Amino acid sequence: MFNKTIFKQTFKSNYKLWLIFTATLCAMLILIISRFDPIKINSMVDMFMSAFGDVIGDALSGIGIISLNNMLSGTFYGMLAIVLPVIFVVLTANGLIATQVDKGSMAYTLSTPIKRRTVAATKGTYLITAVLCMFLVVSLVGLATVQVTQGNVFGTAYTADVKDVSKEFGWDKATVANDLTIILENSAAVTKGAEARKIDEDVYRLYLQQKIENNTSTNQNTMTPEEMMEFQQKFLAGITAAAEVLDTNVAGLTANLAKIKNNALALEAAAIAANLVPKETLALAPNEEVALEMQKTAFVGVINAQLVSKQFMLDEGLNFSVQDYLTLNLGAVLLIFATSGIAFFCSCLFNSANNSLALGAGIPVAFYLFQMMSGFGEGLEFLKYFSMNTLYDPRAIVSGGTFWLQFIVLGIIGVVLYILAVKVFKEKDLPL
Amino acid sequence: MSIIQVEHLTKDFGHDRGVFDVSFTVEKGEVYGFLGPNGAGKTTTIRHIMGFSRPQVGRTLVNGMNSWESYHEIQKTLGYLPGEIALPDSLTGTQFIKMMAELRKMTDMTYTEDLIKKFELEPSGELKRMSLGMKRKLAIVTAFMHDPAVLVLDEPTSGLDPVMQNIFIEFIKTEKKRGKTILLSSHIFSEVDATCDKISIIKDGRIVSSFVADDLRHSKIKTFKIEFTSKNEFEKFQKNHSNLEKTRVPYELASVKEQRNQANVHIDDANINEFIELISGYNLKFFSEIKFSLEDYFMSFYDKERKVNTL
Repeated sequence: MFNKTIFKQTFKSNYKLWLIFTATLCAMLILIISRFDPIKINSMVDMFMSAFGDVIGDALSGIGIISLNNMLSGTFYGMLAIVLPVIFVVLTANGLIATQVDKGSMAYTLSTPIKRRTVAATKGTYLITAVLCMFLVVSLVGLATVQVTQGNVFGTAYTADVKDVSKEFGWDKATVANDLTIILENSAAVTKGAEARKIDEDVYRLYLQQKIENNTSTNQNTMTPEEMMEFQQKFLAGITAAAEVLDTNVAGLTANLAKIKNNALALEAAAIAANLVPKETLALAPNEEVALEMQKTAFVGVINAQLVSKQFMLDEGLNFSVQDYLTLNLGAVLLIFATSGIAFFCSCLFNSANNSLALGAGIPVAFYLFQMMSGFGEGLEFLKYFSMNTLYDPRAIVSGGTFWLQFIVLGIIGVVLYILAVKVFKEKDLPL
Repeated sequence: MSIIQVEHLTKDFGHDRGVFDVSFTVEKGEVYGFLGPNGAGKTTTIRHIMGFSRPQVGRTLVNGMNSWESYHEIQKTLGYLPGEIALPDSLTGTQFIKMMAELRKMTDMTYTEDLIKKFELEPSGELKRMSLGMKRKLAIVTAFMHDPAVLVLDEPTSGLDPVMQNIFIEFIKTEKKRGKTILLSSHIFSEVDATCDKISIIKDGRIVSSFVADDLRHSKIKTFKIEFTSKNEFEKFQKNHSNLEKTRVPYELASVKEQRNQANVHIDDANINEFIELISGYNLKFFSEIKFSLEDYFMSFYDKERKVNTL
């Protein structure tokens, strides 16, 4: 079933293509990971929200905070890690059998006492090995890049403020990350840190205090759902009032709450509209002005709490799950394995290299397009049932959806196609 | 036991293409010529012998083993030279020879080295940069390198220069002396004529004639061309011929050329003296034998076709 000489020769004539594709993938991955900056990317999403908030409405609200895993699942594993390896397996599979049958050079291999089954199985083994090695290298390069640029595969992730402050004052990043009081006790460091996080100093101080108290759950939820609803409505009323004053839209303003704090008129309007201070407390106020101040303070407090909680979410975004990352790679390997099964089967089935390439490439490309189009709208959603690529859903992997069953199906498709490919090559007439 | 047996082999590709009820056997130590023009079905037949194609009807056997089922066993003692030379591009000649040796589990390369010398092969270069002739020679070396007892050669000398063609023909003759069984497909009469013991002619997928080569070479019926000195003599010959025809003539009049006063006659060796006696009564310009060649015999099948076509 396996012949060392054929494998060696196959490796010699194919490894260059493997190197080119693997190197390209690694370069892309390194670029994407090293450029990843959760603050920047999330403030970009915020900017987008404030610019087009009323146009797209809630469409983007589902995205939440973009973590590294999230971002990789969308960019690299959603596209590049599929498209490039598909091209690789289609080209390689075609060259392994169909081209050699078409050209006639297969005649020499088969004029030796080697069984056809062994020839096909050995060449199939090369293709599978090439796919596995490609993703093994990509996974390792990815992990190494995350470790080097973000530092979160092993040990703590360093947030932007820790990085910048440590750099500015020549402190050790790990020491600072473990003891944030170092920053809190140094006002220059606080200024620097707030700048790195692009937030106001008071919010930053609040964030640091909460973090030091290890108070990661930002909402001490002692409210009942009814109270929560009422609170949210009040808060929204405040933002709506502020939006009117600032002549902007509510969605955009929600994404950029700091704006309200910085505009006295807006803050006043919002505080009055929100009316967050309970009546009993308000009654204690000696005059209207004090009452207004109390309302303002309460509203700013809520805004600050919101802003701090957002910072915590951003920190979470920086968190990197090695398990999710490896699962992304496993899924991609299985999808490419199944796709290589299609290409290899076509290569074994057709005597003409052109036909083999047409179907071996055509089917995977159609699958990719169907999957893409199925996301375009309700009317085209049915297309997902015509695409094998739907079985690999990177978003489901990073957001806790179901995927193991799909993985098993992909694995079975691949194995069955390879077995059929060897069988069809064994049974067919060869024009040699 | 016959080494190669082709029994009622049929493979219909449609549109009258393919091979139909092809049968022949090659005995041990024979060189068997398989003669036919391009597209007649030579390569299709060979593909079946090699086990590359499955017959629709009939079967092919090599050393008593079915080609389709036991192709890998057959290949142990078989050397194959494909008609079209398509070598893997990515290798050098040396790497290719080494690969073939490994696939055949060969360890002793002395015979291969001898072959490389004999055919003046320069195997060190890349295959894709080699000339057609060099690729041919490389294919010949790989077909013979494991010193197989059976050889299947599909148009072996095409692409070789005349000197190399001669070396190859001599090589086939010595291989034959060493007891090799060879099936040689060709459309080049000289190489078939020079090497083959038996010949089959294939046309449009069907065998039209199978014969022993020596029978053709030493045919008892010979053809002579006679030219008479004058019109008178020629007419006299024709007149006497019509008279004699009623009783008995020692020859058979094949054709005449009136303008040149020429006649072609077939004469059995047994009647040659009687014929010379008869012809000595005429004034002749010349009298010569027309050597009958394989080519004439081969072409006779196709001429028939041509005549039918022109009618």
